Amino acid sequence: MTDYKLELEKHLANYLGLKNVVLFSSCRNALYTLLLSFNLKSDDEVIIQDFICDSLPKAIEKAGGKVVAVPVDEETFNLTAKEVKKKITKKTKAVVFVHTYGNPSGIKEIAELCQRHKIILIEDIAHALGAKYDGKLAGTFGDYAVYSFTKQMINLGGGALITNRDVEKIKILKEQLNHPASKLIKLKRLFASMYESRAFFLSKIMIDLARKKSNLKQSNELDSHYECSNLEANITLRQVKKIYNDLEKRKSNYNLIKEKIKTQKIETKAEPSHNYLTRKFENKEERDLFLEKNNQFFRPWPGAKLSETIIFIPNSPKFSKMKLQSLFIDTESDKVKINVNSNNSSESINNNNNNNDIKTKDNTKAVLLALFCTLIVSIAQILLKLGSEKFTFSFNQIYNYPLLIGGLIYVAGAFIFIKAFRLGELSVVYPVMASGYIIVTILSIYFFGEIITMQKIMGITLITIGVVLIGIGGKK
Amino acid sequence: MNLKLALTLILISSIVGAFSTLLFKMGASYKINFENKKLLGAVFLSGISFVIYIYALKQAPLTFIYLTASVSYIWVVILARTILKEEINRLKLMGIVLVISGIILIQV
Repeated sequence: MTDYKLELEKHLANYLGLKNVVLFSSCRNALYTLLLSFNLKSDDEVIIQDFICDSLPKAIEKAGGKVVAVPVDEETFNLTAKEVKKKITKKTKAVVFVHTYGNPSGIKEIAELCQRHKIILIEDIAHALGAKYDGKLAGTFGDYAVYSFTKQMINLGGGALITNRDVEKIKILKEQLNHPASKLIKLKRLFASMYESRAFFLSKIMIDLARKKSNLKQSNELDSHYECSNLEANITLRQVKKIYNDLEKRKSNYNLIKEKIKTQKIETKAEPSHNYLTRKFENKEERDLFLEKNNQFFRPWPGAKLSETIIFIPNSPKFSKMKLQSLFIDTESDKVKINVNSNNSSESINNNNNNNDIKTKDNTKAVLLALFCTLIVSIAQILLKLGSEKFTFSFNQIYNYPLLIGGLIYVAGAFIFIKAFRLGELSVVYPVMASGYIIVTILSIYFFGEIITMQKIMGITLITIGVVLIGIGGKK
Repeated sequence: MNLKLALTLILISSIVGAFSTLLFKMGASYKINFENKKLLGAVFLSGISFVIYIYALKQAPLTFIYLTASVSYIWVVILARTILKEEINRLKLMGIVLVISGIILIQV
């Protein structure tokens, strides 16, 4: 069996240009083990931003240190040298810099600050593999970098510590801490990672289920398993290259929304990985109102002041311009509602503005989708007919495969049609859909030898045109 | 083959289906989850409509069933008019007339 762990270690070291890599079961376990190797005394302080998933402060406390939370910059969502400087004392042992949502803004100044004060700098690059500041990769500014395999990709778990420093002590500690993963841990991690990576090809319901089953909001607990598995390393290796390739696309997604809405600010020298797209609101009420309508978005880590006014979504390289617009631009009713709260008079003006934005329908794509859908639904009809010959009102119908498969295609077809109708105009999609009557007729002649008279052909024509008219008539 | 039974079954199936479409429409403006009673009802009704449709398929040729099932478009227009107070305009009316005459033509 190929040792993917070794290959992954080599890859990460090569990519970042650092000497040593230690793989872990998670990013927080990597941080915990690292902090443990410092032999922190109880009054040793570790500085970390206040806008963070609470597993990191917990790891610091468990390793024996004192957490010093510093508020993040309201625009870059990162620590700034100015704020960190205020909190540095003689007891400050380390600073954990998080490249929030993949943004490396501020890292250089903090690296210089830490160097001056001889403080260890740990970079959390969980979101930021591939991000650069001033041409230098995120993760190479500090003394140590920790990485997670579940934020920029879909994986069961896993994380890494990457550094130029000596790692012998850390490796020994890891061995001592490690217990084999139980089946329950494996299952929990699978669900938790699905939730963490917000696997967007899975529906929201699946992810909610994952969260409930894994019994943790995010997998915050430090579990007793510290070793990264060969499988996780393999999955990571296959996906890291995709991260590098998609950097440009993610950046253009960010550039597109940056003009329309208030979002995370980027310093001129920073080239983020844009792993997530964010939106910042004026106040909590406005944010919550928007969240109610757009359940694709997520609330950030609770606790910090910033958490109240922003939302985020995984930045998929597959987002189309239209999808981004529909995600980030308020729907008419939102605007109206917000305006009712603040100012009634501007309502009508805003309505007009929004109409122009929304009417960007992509008819070609819609027609192709509808055509594909009509074809498979027609084939489903043939299967259903075949299945119906064996149909009885009994339970053994689950073995009636033509019926089962036909039914599944039928349901899937309904969803694809909804999608097609959203994409294109009714007057274009309806005729395509109605052509199903003709397709089914041709298929029936071919498969079942059904006899089609001239009268039937006339009937089919009338029905097809009729259905199209009813559909178009539904357009307001 | 039992065309009369098939016709009755399609009529029932399409009416149930039209009610389910109505419920889908009414439930669509709320969040999609298991507490959305209208959507649940819609799924339930479309399931029933589907089973009756399959039973109808057993009785007659596919073209006959599939084409006659287009009558559901008419039910939807009527239900939308009576319950959702949607307008019936000239286009819809023409469509309905064409579908009905088409269905009558294929019955023979």
